[in-house]
Amino acid sequence: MTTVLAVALDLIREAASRRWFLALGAGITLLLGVAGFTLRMDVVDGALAATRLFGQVLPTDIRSVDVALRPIFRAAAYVIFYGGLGFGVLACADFAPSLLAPGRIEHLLALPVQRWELLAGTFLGVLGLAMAGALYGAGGLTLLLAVKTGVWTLRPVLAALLASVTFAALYGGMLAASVFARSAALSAATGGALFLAGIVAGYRERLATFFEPGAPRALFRAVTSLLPRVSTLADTSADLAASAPVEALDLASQLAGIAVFGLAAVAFGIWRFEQKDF
Amino acid sequence: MRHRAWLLAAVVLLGLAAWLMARGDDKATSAKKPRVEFPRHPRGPEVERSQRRRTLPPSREVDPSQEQKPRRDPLLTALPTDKATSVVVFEASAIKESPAGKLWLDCMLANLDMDSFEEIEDEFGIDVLEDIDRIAASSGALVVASGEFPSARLDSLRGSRRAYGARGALFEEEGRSPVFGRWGDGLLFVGKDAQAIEAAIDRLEDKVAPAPPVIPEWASYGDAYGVLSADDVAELLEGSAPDIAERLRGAVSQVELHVDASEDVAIVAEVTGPVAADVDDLGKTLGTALSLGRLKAQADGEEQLAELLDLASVSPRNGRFSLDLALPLPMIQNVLGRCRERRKDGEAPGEEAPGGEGGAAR
Amino acid sequence: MLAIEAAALRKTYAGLFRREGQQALAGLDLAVPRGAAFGLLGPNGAGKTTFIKTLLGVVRPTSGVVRVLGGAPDDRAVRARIGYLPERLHLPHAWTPVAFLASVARLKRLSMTEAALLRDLARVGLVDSAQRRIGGFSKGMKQRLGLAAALLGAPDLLVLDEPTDGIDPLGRAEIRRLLTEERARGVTLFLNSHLLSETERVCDRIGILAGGRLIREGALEALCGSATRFRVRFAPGCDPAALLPLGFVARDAEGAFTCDAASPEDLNALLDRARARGALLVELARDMRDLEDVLAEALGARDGPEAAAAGGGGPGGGPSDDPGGGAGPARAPARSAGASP
Repeated sequence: MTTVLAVALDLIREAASRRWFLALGAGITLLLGVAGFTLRMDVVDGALAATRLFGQVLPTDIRSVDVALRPIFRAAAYVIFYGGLGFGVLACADFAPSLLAPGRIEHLLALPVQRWELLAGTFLGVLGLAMAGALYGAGGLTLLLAVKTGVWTLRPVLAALLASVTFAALYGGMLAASVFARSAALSAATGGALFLAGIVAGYRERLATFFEPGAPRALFRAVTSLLPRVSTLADTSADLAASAPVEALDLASQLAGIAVFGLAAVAFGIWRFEQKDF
Repeated sequence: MRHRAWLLAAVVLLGLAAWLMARGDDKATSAKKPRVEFPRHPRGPEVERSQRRRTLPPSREVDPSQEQKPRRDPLLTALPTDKATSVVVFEASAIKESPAGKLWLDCMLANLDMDSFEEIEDEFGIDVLEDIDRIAASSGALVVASGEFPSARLDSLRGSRRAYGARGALFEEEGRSPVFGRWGDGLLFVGKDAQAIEAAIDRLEDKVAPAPPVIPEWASYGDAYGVLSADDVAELLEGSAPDIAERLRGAVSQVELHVDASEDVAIVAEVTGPVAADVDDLGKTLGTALSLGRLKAQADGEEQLAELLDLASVSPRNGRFSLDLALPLPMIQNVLGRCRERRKDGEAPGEEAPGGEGGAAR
Repeated sequence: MLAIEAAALRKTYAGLFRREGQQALAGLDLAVPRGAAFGLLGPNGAGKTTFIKTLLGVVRPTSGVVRVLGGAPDDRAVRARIGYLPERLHLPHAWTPVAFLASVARLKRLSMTEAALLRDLARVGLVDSAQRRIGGFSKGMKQRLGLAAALLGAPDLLVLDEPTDGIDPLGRAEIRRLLTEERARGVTLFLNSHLLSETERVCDRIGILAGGRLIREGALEALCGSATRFRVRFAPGCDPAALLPLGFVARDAEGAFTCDAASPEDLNALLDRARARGALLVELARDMRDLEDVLAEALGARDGPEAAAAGGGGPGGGPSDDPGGGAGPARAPARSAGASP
C-alpha cells in the first residue's frame, strides 16, 4: 500500500508541476476571484433582496437567500459535474500512456514495485487530482457565496465528490484502454465514449421504450446495465447541491456501483498489464 | 495464474457494479422533487380555450374606430366591472381533474354531509362535475357558473320565477337570500339580491354602458384566476401582518391572481400600483417577510410551513412585482386528506368509496 | 556465487496477426559470476535488450529459467538490489533531478535526505543542475541522472544499457571511474553498449549475442588475445629486414613487430636471435585483437555454414573462475572459457 500511495503522490506531484494544471488552478482561482470582486449580493433579514454583477442589477427574485442560492448551486453542480468530467477526460488522458512510455515503464518495473501497484497508484493519483480540482472549485464557490450571503452549506462540496467518484469510473476505463494500446487519444476516446454512454445509461429506463420490445430492447438494457449511470449521478449531485431531497439508499447504491465499476475496469487493466511485456 | 485472478476479479466486480447500479435506477434522483409549474403566461390550450369561449357578440357601443369588434366571453362579461371588486374564476373542469381538486371536492362533500353530487343532480338537474365549466365568485355578492344547464331546475330552490331581459330569468322568494338566476342554458347566477343578477344580465344584453371586464380575456389562464382589490387583500392580511396590510392599501391598486393545480398548487400574484417605487418597496418588504417567516418556521420546527415558504418568492419588475406561492401536493393531501378519511370512517364496514382517487366524483 | 544465471531461455513475441511470433531469445544460456563486469555485445536485433528486460522481469520469458542474485526477477527483494539504467530513459520533464531521485528512492523504499540525494547527484556531476527542470537537460545530463538513479541504494547488480550514450569523452571517463568505484565495492556490472572500446575498457568478461543465442562468452583476454602471437617493440635503429627472416613482422615504423611462438621457450629463443642481430627489446605483450575484430569474426563464424552448429555451443563453457582477469595486454588470460568457436 505504501508503494501505491508513493506512485499516486508522484503522479500528483508530476501533475502539479505541469504548466496546464497550474493554469487550471489559476483559472479556477481567477474565476472565483472575479466573481468575488464583482458579485454583490444584498441580504436583508435572510432574504436575497438584490444581486449585482459588474455593477448591473440582475433580475432576481426576492426570497430566502438559501433558497435563492439553490439554482446557483444546482447550475454549479452541473457545471462541475459535466464540465469536470469532460475536462478530466481530456486532461488526464495522457497520464497512463506517459507512465507506460518506453524508457519509463522499464525503469519503473525494474524497481521493487509490483505491476498492480503501479496501475493502482496511477488510478488513485488521478482520482486524487480529480477530487482536489472538484473540491477546490466547489469549495471556493461555497466559501465565496458563504462570505457574500452568510449561507454555509457543504452540499455543493458533496456534489463535487459525487463527480469525483463518477470520474473514477471513467478513468478506470481510460486506464484499462491505455494498457491495451498506449495512446492518449485512445484513452481520451474511451473516456469520452464512457461519458456519453453513461449519460445514455442514466436514462436507460426511459430510452428503452424507444426500442422495439423483444431482442433490441433486451440488448439495449443488457448493454446499458453494465455502464456507469453518469446522468443519474449528475442529476443527483444537482439535487444534492440544491438541497432537494435525495433517496440516500439509492444514492449509496449508485455510488457504490459506479465506484465498483471503476475498480472492475482497473482490475481488467491490471489483468492485461500483468501479462504484458515492455 | 495471478493474472487470471485479476480477470476473475474484474468480471465479478463488473457484475457487482451492474447489480448495484441497477438497484438505484430511476430512483436515485428524488421522486419527491416538487414539480411546481407557476402559471405566468397563457399556454397554447388556454389561448384556444379563451378563444372558444368568446361566444357573446361584440358590444354595440364599442369604440367605433376599432374596425374588428372583439367577441366576448359571457362569464367575464357578466361579472361586475367595478375596479374595487374582487373576482376569482375557477376552472371547474380542470380543478376536478387535479389531485388537489379531487381532495377539495371530497372535503366539500364531507362539509355538505353528502355522499356524492348525485343528490344535487337529482334535486336541481345539474350535474356538478359534468355540466359546470367555470364558477366565478365576486366580492360584489355574485356567483356566476358557466356550462351547459339544459335541465337545470332552479325553481325547486325558489318558488317564484321571473323573466328578465331577452334570455334571463330570476328565481326568488320574498325575503329569502340568495336569489338564483339563469341566462340562456349557459349561465347560472347566485346573487345576494335580485339587483346583482339583473345587473349581470344587463351587462350581457348591452343594456348598460359597456365597460372593460374586470378580468380581461387575455388574463383568463390558469386553473383559477382573478383579480383582488387592495382592500380585500389587506383585509386578509389584517390579522397576521397589519403593517404589510397597511402599506398594501396605500401602494397597491390591484392584484392579479393565477393558479395552477395540475400537480402541486402554484399561485402567481401580479401586484401593480400607481407608484412604482412604493410597489418595489412593498415587494422587498413582502420578500423579506416571507424569508423571515421561513426562517422562523424552520427554527420552530414547523416543517410544513417552512416547505411552503421554501417555494415562495417575490420577483420585482419595473414598478410591479409578482409573488409566487406554492402548496406542495403532499401538504394538501395532509390537510385535505382528512376529509377523505372522515368520509371513509363514516361508511359502513366493507363499503368503499367508489372510483378510488376520484371517489368524490360520483 | 552467480549474479546472473540463464538456462535455455527463450522469448517469442506473439504477433497480433501472425501466427508465428518473433523469436528474440532462442535458448540462451549464461552465467555471470558475482563481482564480474560483463559486457554484452551483438548486432541490432540480437536480443540484448530483451535479455536485459528478462533479467529485470520487465519481459516474461516464454520458457527457460532466469535467476538474478539468486532469486527470480519477479521477486521484489531481488529487484531492490538491482540498479538499472534503460537505453532511452524517459524522465518527467517538469521535475527537478532531486525530485526524480527522491521518487526513485521512495519506490526503492529508501529513506534518503535531500543532502544524500545531492551527494548522489554530485557523484554523476549534476549537483550544479540539481534545481533545474529535467526538460532542459541535454541527453548526456539525462543519462547521468539515470545513472545516479541506478546507483541509489548501493545495488549489488548494476544493469546498464548504453550508459555512456550521449556523454562527452570527459564525461565517459568520469563514468568509467564511477563504475570502477562500484566494482571495487563488489558490485556486479552488466553492461550493454555499442561502444566496443567502452566495453573493452570497463568489462572483464564479454558475451556476444546473435539471433537470440550466446555465440561467444568468456574473459576479455581469452576472447581478444592470442595464445601464440606476441607484440614486441625494439629500440629505434633495429633493421626490420634483418628481423623478418626470423619471423618478426613489422607493424609500424616505430619498431613494433609481431611474432608467433608456440611456447615460452620458443619465444625466448626467438628474442635471443633478434637481440643477436642487434635489436634491443623495449616492450613485450600478448597480441590483442580489437573487440570489433572479435565481434566480426564471431558473427562471421556464426553466419558461416560450418560454424552454425558451433554458435549454439558457445555458452556451454560456463563461467570463469577468474572474474578479475584484468584488461592489461601484458597479462595472460587465466583461462579461456568457451572462447573458441
